[in-house]
Amino acid sequence: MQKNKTVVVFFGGDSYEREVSVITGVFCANLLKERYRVIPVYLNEDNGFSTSDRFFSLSAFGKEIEGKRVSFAFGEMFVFGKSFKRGEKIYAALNCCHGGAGEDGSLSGYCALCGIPFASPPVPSSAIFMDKVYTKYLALSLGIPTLKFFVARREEDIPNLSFPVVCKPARLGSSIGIQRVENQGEWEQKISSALAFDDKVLVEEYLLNKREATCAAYRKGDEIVVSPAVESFAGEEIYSFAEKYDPAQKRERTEISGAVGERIRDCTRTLYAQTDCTGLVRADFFIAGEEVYFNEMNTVPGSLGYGLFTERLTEQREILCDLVEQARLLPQRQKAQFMADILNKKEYSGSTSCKF
Amino acid sequence: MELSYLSKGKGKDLVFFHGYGANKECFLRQIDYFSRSYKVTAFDFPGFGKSDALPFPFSVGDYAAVTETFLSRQGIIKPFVVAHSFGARVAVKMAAQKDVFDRLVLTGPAGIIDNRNAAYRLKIFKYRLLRRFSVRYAEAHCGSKEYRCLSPLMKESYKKIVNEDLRLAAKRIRCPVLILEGEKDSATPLRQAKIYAETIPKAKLVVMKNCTHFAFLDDPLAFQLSVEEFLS
Repeated sequence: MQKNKTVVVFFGGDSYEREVSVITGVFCANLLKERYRVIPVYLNEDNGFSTSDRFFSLSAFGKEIEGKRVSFAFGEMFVFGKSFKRGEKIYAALNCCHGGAGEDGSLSGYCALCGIPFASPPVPSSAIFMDKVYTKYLALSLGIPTLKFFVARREEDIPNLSFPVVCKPARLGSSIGIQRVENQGEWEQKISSALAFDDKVLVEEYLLNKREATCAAYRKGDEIVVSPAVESFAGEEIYSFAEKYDPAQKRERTEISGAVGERIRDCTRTLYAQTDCTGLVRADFFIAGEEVYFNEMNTVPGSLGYGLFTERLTEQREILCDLVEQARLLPQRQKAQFMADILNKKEYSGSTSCKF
Repeated sequence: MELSYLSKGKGKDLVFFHGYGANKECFLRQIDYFSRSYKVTAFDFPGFGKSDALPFPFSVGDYAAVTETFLSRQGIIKPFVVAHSFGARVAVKMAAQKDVFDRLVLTGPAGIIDNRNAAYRLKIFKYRLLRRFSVRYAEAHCGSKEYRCLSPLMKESYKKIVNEDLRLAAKRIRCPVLILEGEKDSATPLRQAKIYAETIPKAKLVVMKNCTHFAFLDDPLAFQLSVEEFLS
């Protein structure tokens, strides 16, 4: 029991995945509750933060979400009430925001700026993997196999790929706005609807008869723990948002063994290690026969990867606790301090302005 | 006697005992979750769900005997057991007779009589008085809602059940016991769970915040976490 250590769980935000994020956040907050003093913090749509004891239950997230407004600085939480109350020192923060400013590195940067140890991926990996195009560039440079692609920024852009292709808005998650284009005739209409979601669209060749797999990784001490490769949504069609999150559609967990499984795990490890990532991530892959293609990386995966390492809640709780403790091990600032001490030099000391 | 049951998953046996007036399906969420790591069996007690009706007014002891026969016929030896409310009465009775369970989880356990105060005696007096004038009126207007819905045979059984205090039986339980009690439980209040926790030698009481008598429905995540931690 470490009830004196305060852990903040962030969730919500203004992305399309707000509701899923609430589910992930409430789930993680409840898992950590018995080990730490957990403060669930909801990112309001108006760019503020709020918290309430009722945020441990999904029922608090109906139409009106009521909570006390809070903010962060000096590694502490401040509560806006009748008086501005200085809160307690924060031991670590866990990010459960899917999509938007929660996942693209902004929140990681905010916490770094406020001096809050962060248990989720840092700014660089979050920012790169948020953008499907940057992800492609990174995969190419690391020699990770990935499908051929093309970047469309305007409706006039014609892909140099053979149809069918898939259009993906570059910075949205959870299959939102993703559509298949069967032939040249459909192209113009589909690309313009994809460009309505984002001004950059990743166009990718469509793989027939493929299977999909996911694999999660996190850092524990000096080692990178990689989960088994697990088959996700097998089949021909692209899964829509509703299908992905409807519990009735939930399928049995199937592990992928053998060379294919190992290759998926290797790719995940490489991507994680080479971006100096911390926290828990989930990589998604396509499998066609024996070939493996890296699809994308989620730096805040749904339910924080529950079901990939284990289906047992007690073991998932241990993983979350490992993430929190890992956040404390990370150096919060650069190792060696360097001060040029320019401002104290003779010619500047005592001057009242910067005129020369 | 035929009992309706369902069985799911592989591994160590985990058996669910439902409460009075309920059935095995009330544990569907828990069955779904625990079947990933255990062989889960849930059954309907006689007189409930799809099981056979009672041949005569059963006491807690009769329920315990039938359950024991059922478990041995299923080849279930020394299982983990999760028992709710009335199911906890049966589980306590069984565990007291023989050390038949490996570990036992009681949630909202019934079987402690501590509310026989003046108000209770007044209610009994009122019932007996009314019975003198009209049995039908007395039966229709007295007693708990749970009691009034029952068939005459079940009513007889119900009286036997609720009038048995299980403190002595609880003392003889040898296996480790976890008691999960909702803090807002009005059917079997927290003080009764505390009595159980003090009486059973190897008992641990966990009070579940914002939960009622049905803690496993109010907060399935916390319930499943506590149970899993206790069983592993």
